[in-house]
Amino acid sequence: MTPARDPEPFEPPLLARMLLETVLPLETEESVSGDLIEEYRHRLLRGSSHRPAVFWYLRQVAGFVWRAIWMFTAFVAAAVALRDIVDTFVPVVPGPHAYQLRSAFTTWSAVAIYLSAGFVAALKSGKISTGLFVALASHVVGHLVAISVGAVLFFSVIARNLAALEEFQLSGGWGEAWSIPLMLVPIVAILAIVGACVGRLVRRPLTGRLT
Amino acid sequence: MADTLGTFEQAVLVAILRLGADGYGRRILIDVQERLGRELASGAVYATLDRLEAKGLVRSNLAPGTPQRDGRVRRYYVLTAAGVRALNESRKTAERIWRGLAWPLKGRV
Repeated sequence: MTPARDPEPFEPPLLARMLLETVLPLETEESVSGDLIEEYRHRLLRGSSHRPAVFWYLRQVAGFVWRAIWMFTAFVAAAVALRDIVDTFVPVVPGPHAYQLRSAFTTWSAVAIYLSAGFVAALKSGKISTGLFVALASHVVGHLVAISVGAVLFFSVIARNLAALEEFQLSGGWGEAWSIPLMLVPIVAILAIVGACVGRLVRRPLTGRLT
Repeated sequence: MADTLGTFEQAVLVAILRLGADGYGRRILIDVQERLGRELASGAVYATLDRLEAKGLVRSNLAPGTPQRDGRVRRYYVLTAAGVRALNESRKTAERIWRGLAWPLKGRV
């Protein structure tokens, strides 16, 4: 008697599937995720190993996620990197309100970016969860990009200049580059949810019909 | 005058035309991949389909799913009259551009 084939490999990776459904708009969520499941299973049945099919599915999901987050990731990375570049090449003259203008720029640009991320993503998808995910993912990936830019700046400019190195250590150094983004996560989430709620409210009614 | 169609948009529209009643997302993706001769990110095809629908060049209808896709609905696409006009226009433009030149091109320009 032939043992029944384990049904598990016929299911695409659960986390990837959940990510895909998070970023897809309500109108196309079911049809697009269905298409991908159908093609995934077709590839599984065609091949001897399930790894290429899983890899294909993961690549497709990564593509959808990247399409959803790239613009706000670029905004986050640009705002943080710009601040690092200005701090490196135009150091602050010590004084009572020395950092006020720069802090205000960083704070308000972040508020605008995360509110917009939540708003635009929910407006496109019809889901508050998409707004939250897009803002948080843009925050994480944008900061990783900015930290990479910061590393280039550090090794090419700051590490070669004692005064700049001291200024860098005094302003928090590498510890701050990692800890501030983590501390900001709850604030990013709140801003994203506020933006997403507005986006969801102003969205057009659902389209598409079942024939 | 209608918007100019890009090569990718033309490939998607022609795939819908060719597939007829079988033109749903996955089949369109496969057809476009075969015609362009390379593997594509499916997100690119769905983004193009959304754009073409927003422009009024295609319209879509949902149909019940099958067990191979866990019963998830299929979205079938068909060209609108504007879509057919846009494809005709693109073909005519390409022919005007190439008129008078022997194909394939030979030697250095």
